[in-house]
Amino acid sequence: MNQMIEKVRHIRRIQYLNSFNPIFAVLIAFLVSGLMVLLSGGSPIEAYIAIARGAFGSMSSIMSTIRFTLPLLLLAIAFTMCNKCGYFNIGQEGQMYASALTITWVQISFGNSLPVPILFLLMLVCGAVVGGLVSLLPAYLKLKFGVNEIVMGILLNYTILRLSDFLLQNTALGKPHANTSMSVFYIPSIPTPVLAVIACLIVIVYAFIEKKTIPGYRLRMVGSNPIFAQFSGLNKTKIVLVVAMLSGVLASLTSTGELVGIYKCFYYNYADGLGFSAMTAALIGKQSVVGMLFGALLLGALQSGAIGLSVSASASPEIVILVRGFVMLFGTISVLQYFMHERRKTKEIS
Amino acid sequence: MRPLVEMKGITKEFTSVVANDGVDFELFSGEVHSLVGENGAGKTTLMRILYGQYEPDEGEILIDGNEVRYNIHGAIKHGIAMVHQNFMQVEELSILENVILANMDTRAGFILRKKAETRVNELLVRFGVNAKPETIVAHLSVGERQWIEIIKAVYVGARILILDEPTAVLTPQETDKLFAIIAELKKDGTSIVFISHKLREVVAISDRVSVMRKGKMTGTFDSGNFTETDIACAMIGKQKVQLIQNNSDFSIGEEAVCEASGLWYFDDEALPVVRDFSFSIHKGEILGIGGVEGNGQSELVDLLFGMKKPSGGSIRFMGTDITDASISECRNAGIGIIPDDRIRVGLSIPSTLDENLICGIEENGKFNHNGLLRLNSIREYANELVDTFDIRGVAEDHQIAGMSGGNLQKIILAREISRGPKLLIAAQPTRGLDIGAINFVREQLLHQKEMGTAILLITADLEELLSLSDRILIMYEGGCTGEVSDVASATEGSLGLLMGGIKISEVGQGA
Amino acid sequence: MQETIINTVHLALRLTIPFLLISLGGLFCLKTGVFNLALDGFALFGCFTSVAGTYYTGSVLGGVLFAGITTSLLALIFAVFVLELKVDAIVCSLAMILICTGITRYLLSAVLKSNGRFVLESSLALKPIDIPFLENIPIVGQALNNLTPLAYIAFLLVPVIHIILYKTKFGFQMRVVGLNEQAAEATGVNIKRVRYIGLIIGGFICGLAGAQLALSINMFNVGMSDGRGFTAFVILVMADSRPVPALLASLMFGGSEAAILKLSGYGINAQILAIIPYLLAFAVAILPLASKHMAIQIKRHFAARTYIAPIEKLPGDE
Repeated sequence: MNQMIEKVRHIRRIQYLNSFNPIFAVLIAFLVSGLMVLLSGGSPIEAYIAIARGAFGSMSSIMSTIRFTLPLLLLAIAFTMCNKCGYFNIGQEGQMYASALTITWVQISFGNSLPVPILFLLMLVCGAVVGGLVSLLPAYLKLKFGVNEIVMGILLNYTILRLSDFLLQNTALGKPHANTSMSVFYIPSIPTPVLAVIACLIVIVYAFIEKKTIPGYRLRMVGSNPIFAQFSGLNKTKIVLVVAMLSGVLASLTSTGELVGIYKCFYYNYADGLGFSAMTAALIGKQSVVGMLFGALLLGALQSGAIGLSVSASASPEIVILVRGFVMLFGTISVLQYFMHERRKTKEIS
Repeated sequence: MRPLVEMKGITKEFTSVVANDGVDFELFSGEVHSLVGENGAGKTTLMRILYGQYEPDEGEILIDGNEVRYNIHGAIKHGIAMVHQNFMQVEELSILENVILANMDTRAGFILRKKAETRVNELLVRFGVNAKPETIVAHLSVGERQWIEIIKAVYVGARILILDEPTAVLTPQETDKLFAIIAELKKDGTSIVFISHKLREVVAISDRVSVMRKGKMTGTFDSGNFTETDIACAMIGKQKVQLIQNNSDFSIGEEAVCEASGLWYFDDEALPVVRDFSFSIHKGEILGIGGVEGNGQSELVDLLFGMKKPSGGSIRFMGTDITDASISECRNAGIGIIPDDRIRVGLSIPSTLDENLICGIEENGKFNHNGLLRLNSIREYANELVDTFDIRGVAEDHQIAGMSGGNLQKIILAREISRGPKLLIAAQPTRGLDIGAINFVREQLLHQKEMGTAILLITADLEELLSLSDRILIMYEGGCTGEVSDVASATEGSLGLLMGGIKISEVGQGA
Repeated sequence: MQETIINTVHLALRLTIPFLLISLGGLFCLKTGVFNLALDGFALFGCFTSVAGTYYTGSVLGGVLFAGITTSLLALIFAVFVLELKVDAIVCSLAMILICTGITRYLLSAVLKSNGRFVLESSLALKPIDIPFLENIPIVGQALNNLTPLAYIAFLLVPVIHIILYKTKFGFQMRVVGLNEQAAEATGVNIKRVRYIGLIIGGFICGLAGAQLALSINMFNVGMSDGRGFTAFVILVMADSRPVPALLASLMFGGSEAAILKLSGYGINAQILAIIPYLLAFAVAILPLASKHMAIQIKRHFAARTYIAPIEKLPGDE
């Protein structure tokens, strides 16, 4: 019995230490990237100060950090809920482009005939339906025929990206005579603080549903052991499909928020790398809501800090991408647990 | 005489479990040395250490008197081969490729295929396997795959052959063939370690028997100096514990709880895994389904609760047709299941006890308040079941990871029985449990029988089949080879013939 | 007309090479069961190091070898994380892609002191070679001639890898490790060693792919791998990581890219054509599995008719 208690304590200790893991990952990532800067003749300390200033130095830089954090947070949640039930949703960028095309179409078709609130609502709904369907397709094919969802997701991303390039340049969706592929401007507009409030609401609602409700319980069960969930009578197929669909809807809401709230029109390639960054945020946050919040904030701060870095000349702003990569790489190993394990082993032998 | 292999003071610890604790083991040249013990006694771990698969934390291994350290590759060089309990074969490859995997002749890195093919062909003929070297392993039967494993060992020129529970997947008749092969190998000078917990087999072929219990060696018996009882006592560690038997006279109801008629199921290769299988089970009856594993039992279970849809035939449950019903419809109608794989199917190990207990009935008003989980009353419910079913080692936060097999099985029993099933399907319900837990499970099953629950007992353990069942059906290649209604006069021998596919008409009832 | 066909085929072959090289590199990872999604990052890294290597050594060969070796080292880091630290291969791949994007951009500005692109002198380009005897074979020979040395190496690698996989001990061990890890371990195959070697060779070939991409136009620009690594990954999944089918799938992608370039000259929209190879890839990824699914259904149906029907009929007939 004593042994059992000891064992439980040990597991607790590891869990406790694990919650600090992302912090260590970030520290190591900064250290390695700093070394890189140093080796190439720059000054890492100056670079990091510039990043920090760019991310938190002034009111406007804080606003910019928040602005970059929001889409990452929402997409991280969309990715996590799929990942929890065994669907690796790598196709978020495709979902975002697809719904961006849809809302642009709504703008073209109804922009002049509908009052703005209804137009906006129509954009939200149509975008959500299309985003949901694009996310549903790989999930359905995976469940029905066993098609690899990662391959499907990558293919969908490329296809939709190229399709939007074509449509923006050759149809009425695009702005005629623009130098780059971009769409016509949207009439509805939402200010960034409103976006922030909506995003926070979505996060809170998600956290509540996941922890306290029956649908959340079912999602968790399908995630922790799909065979057991099915054996107990849960309809695994339905749950996975619904979650995939909701995740697509969330991606599309993110896309609508970005386009209507910030860019005011749809640029070709506007979400480049956003899906990857969101995955990074989700994975370093170990897929818990609080963890993802910190993950998204960190990446958002880095992105906004990159702007600060480009103003100062201490290192090139590309270092930020490098830091992001290292954070992801080190965030996935349980650094502490690894060392703890090694120590325990040597102690036992001696 | 100097032993061929000496293992001294072997200790091996896994995360918080001591699998081997200062074990000594000796193997002489040309002997059949059996290693017996309950599940989890540490037999397989000890042999995997000998095979170089695990590195011992402490202790030394001497081969031919020299201390050696090696990995699997080294073990093969020393002439050690091991036939694992679940075959280590690449199903997608041919027999030839599987056999030469461990030891291939090469010239400049290229495999010399022709030479290998001739030798493998010779071995296939010698062991009476009716297959070509090019045959893909996935197309072989379980018995044939067992011979391929042994051919693999002979091909690498093993002088020490470790067989881990080789008879678990064989019919008694195939087992006899295996023993003949073992005798032949022994004559050639091969030393054999035979791991089993079937005492009769052990007594029949061993020169020596070593008994393990809870990671320790508890005794070694020389040929002629032991009986089954001696070994059994050493295994259990005290004077004989009696396993609970079904002696009850409780009347079996007239009313059929579940009736299956002419069930068929075709797998992905369109081969009939369940063929024309019919049965009916009554209130308060324990119907045993026996047979060598892999003869369609698990598919039959899947058909009964809607996990798989039958390709033909029909199932009626309490008078209604459930052939096309979904899993949740079947479960809600009153079918409870104790699945054969408690870790993979029966429980969700990363989840808590509470979450495991309410899965499938979470919409019940007791746990659900307008879509919100009533966490407090769920916790209360779980605590109640912990008390009733004597589940031990529950952590404060109700995490179940790290609990023992017996207690995990109790959680499953608690969940299924507390839902008041009318039909309880128990698939291998005592596999891998210690004697105490086995008796607990048996007690619970018999108690359910008294309450009028119909119990479908699927087990590969003949002793269990005979001790618990009111009636027995034997499955062979998906079909039924015979029904035994007079269980008291049936013997393991007569059941063995049925398990090998010999029809009841040819055996005679209860012979 | 004949001229156009030869030109198109030649162009198709040229565009096939990067796909082929990356997928042959990836083959060494996927075949051993390491789900390496970072091929695009590896190729991009190879692009950069080949240009940097050529710049500093002043020789094309030096650049190619530098690309191969540095990408191997990168693959080694990936291997350490996946095999020793047990990081999920997909997650690690995504991190690797980010790191490759970041490191090439950063080093481009920090070391080569330029932004967006870096152009080498044209004398330091990887030039096509003229093989006299090919010139004499009509059409086929002419289309095949005048490719870069790396292109011929890529085509030669296909049969070489085929022989390695199916005739040699190491190739056999690679296949076994990919098919059934436990069985491989139980027969004494050193899984880690096989995977390390596979990943390092794979990294080297991806580095060559980068060199071909960058040095054939003697410049590096940011993001020049342009998702080819992901396409190569799709090619590998479609080809089940076998070299000859991978060649065919690469030809499909290369061919359709060539067709796009040629046809857009005739006034057909290039962007819509750019979608075609992806639609083809969809078909190739879905159809075999869907048809297998259908085949099982049909086989079951017939099995039910042959097995069940006679038994059920008998009582009625008699």
